[in-house]
Amino acid sequence: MALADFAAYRDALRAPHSDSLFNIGSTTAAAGRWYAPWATLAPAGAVPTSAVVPTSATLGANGSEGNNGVIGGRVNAMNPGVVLLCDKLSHQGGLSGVTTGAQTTNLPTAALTRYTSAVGVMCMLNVYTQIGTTATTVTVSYTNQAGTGGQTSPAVVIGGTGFREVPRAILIPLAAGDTGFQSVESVTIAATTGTAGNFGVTLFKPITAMIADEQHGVAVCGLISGRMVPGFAELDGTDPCLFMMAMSQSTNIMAAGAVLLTEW
Amino acid sequence: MAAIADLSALINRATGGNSGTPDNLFFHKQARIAGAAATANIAGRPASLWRYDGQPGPGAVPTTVAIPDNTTAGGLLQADAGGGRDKWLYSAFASGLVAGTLILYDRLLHIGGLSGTSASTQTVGGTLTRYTDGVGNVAWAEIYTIIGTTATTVKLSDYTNQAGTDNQVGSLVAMGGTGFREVTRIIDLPLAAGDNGIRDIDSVQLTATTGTVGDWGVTIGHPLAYIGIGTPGGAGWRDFSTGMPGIPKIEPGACLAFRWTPNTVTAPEIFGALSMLEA
Repeated sequence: MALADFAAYRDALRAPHSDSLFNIGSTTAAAGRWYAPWATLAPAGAVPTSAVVPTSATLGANGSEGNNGVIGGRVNAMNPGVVLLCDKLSHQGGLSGVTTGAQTTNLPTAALTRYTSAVGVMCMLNVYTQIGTTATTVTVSYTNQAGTGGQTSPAVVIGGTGFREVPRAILIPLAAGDTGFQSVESVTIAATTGTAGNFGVTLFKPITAMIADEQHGVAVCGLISGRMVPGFAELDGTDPCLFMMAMSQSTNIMAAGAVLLTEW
Repeated sequence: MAAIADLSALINRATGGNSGTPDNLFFHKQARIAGAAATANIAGRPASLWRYDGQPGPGAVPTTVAIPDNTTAGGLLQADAGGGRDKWLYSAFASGLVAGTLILYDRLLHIGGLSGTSASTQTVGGTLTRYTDGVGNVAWAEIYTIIGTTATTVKLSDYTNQAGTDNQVGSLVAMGGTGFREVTRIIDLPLAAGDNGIRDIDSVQLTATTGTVGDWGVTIGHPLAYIGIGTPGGAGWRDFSTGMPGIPKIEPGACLAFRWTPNTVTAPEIFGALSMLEA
């Protein structure tokens, strides 16, 4: 049920049904690029191998405690930047930075069980063990939101400085006219990066962004206080695998805070 | 707030009440076009993100004059409001690899295939289907394939203004030559004195050849929101329930797209979201 009015919103902020805490430990970063510290969060998730659908019960997930509505948050960050709350819908690992040709290890991705329309579902390659210093490009073969298989993403850079480090998140673009990823069938790097490392595909749905605009400050985030877009977000179901992605203005990401959830 | 009576109504609809149908649309744009690195920007000079790869997917180079809508690849492909309601943008944010200003606009009309060597009038045409009164509509030249190194000027040689007055002629602005020829470059086309909008454009005209045909076009857009990204890795956010210009309405069929005013030469990578609801 929706929040009826401002008074209901105020009351929910005063006593949210759950206060989901997160803690992103010190992470070396390139300014302005996304990182997904799944395996370095506190508590840390495990590096995935086979294709699975994570849930709120998966180690590393931030729980929602059965609530479905995000109404606010707070971020204490070492450097200004953005913390992005996401639902991890499907992930796998074990891909190589040296193998050219279509890689199908632990693919296709496990079928979505949340946001099953796939509209707005994003794809990233998450680096779990550092890959090589040679920059190349990567494409994925995927099934789009309409169920059309064999779609090929435009190439993006992978490997080399800024595109190889743990826990870099390399966002994958869509082909023209597509709005989301239903599944990924294979990943192809154009040339070796020089080191196998370990990376994997993650399908995820962004939920809300919290903006830390002050070094060492505490950003209070919500519709009224700002710094949170969207100010309200409804989760799909009550067992999402909530996790954080982050971007920093500096060469280090370190942030802690909470997401306020309620039931509507 | 028009159809949104007050803050309580906004909260109710944004959480799904009263058929609010909240639509939180996340997007990203990569600094790449068709899988290759995008052309560098020019600090302070606007660029189009229409063809940038990302999510949703990229736009194509237009050929004949066309009216893009919310099914046209390159736009954000948002759903229209249902049940006779309107769609409203109540907040937005964008973060990026580099600093600059992201401008969200409704892409009303576009054409490609114009020549960088012809000094004759080049036909635009087409009929707007959104913002048909013309008020606040802006026009720009958009470069799809690099034109020549010779600097010249360009103008709206025949357009209809917001009052319905035809045969208006805009002022000349630079086009061609370094900084005015590169792929994705936007060159805003000024209006005649006293005008504040465009209903249609019959033609545009270069004063002289730039030396290379290339491929450029004309776009008519209606700006909706400005989101400043102050520093690399930072984010700009807008809460339209408390800040100017109020809560922008998203027209049915709107082709939501972005242009970019860069602080630096590095082509941008953008990640952001639009929060919309129905009322």
